Amino acid sequence: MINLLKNLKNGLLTENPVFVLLLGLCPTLAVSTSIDNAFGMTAAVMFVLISANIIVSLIRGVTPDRVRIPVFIVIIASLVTIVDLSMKAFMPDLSKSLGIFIPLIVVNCIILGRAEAFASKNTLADSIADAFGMGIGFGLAITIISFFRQLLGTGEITVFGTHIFSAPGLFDNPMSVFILPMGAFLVLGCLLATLRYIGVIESG
Amino acid sequence: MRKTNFKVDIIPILFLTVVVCVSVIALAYVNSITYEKIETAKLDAFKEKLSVHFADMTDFTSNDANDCYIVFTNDDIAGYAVKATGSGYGGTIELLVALEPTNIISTDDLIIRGLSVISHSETPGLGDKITKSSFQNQFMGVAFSGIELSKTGGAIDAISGATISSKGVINGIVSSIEARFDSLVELVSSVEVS
Repeated sequence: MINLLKNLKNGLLTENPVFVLLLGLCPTLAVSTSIDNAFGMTAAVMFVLISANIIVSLIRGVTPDRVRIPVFIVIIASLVTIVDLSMKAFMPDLSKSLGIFIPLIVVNCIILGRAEAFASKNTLADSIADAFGMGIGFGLAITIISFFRQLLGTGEITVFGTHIFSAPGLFDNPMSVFILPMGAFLVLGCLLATLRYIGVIESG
Repeated sequence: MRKTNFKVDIIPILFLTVVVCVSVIALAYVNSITYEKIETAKLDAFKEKLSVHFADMTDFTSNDANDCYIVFTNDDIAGYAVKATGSGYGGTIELLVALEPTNIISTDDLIIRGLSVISHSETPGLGDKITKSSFQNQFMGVAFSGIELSKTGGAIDAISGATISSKGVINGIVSSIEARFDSLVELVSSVEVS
């Protein structure tokens, strides 16, 4: 049990995939324009990450070492296609706004990285805990970035059509630069600097 | 050359083959469940785009190339629509042009009912104003010959700072409708016969 908690905390803080390992930055930067997108992306990544870790961990005893990377890629690509098809079928709007970044989860290094570095060497329970930790860590990071980008770039926060609040002054004159790709780099850079300065994450 | 070793050389090939087969079966299964839903979702999304211009729309039909449409209200023709593509500042602009249900013999008979942008990659804040109603509403009720920038005698004012995007929309409409006019006429006559 302590082990599981340790793996969870590992993904959230000590080895947070986005803030510490700086992995999976492509979707983090590209789709973090709204909180809706962040949640959708997190759900997709969580599903793929957990399923991939489960399968990789289950077959770790029989996978020949020489073909392990192709095997992982096939597993991950199939899972991503399943997510892509289901999202197109059941949530067409979300699928449209995430666009190409759902299929691109295949090459997201968080997932291949965890399959190779963790799930292929650890027990099923540990691998699931690791996937949860990493998935939540990724989700937390992308949600924080989206929050700032949406707030500064549009002046209001809405989650799945529900209006949460508008920032007075900002709403009439939003800083649209934060919705543009450049804003993603600005927000990520400032967040990384702040988190390191206050010591939430250790600089490597 | 060393001898082929079953464990080292053959097992990995077999293993990868089995993994690929299992995933193909899984994907075929998922696809069989979702295929119909995805097609319906696509159709619904397109219907919604059409119904912006035809509020009373009950049905529509398209030609085989899927670029000309006839919109029906019950059994009457409510109007036509044509897909148009133009090249803007940032890339291709895809448009849907709704047309009034006039009797069409030549392109001069066409009257624009409305315009919507299906996809574009124009600059945010400048060229992407082609998606705003202030730009699109200019096209409403304009005859096909009037689809031209106002500085060259037409009815459309270009977006300031985004002349290339505005021209892209206009050229896209004019060239696509000219290219697809025959297929539209053919589609209309096939409906009238049946």
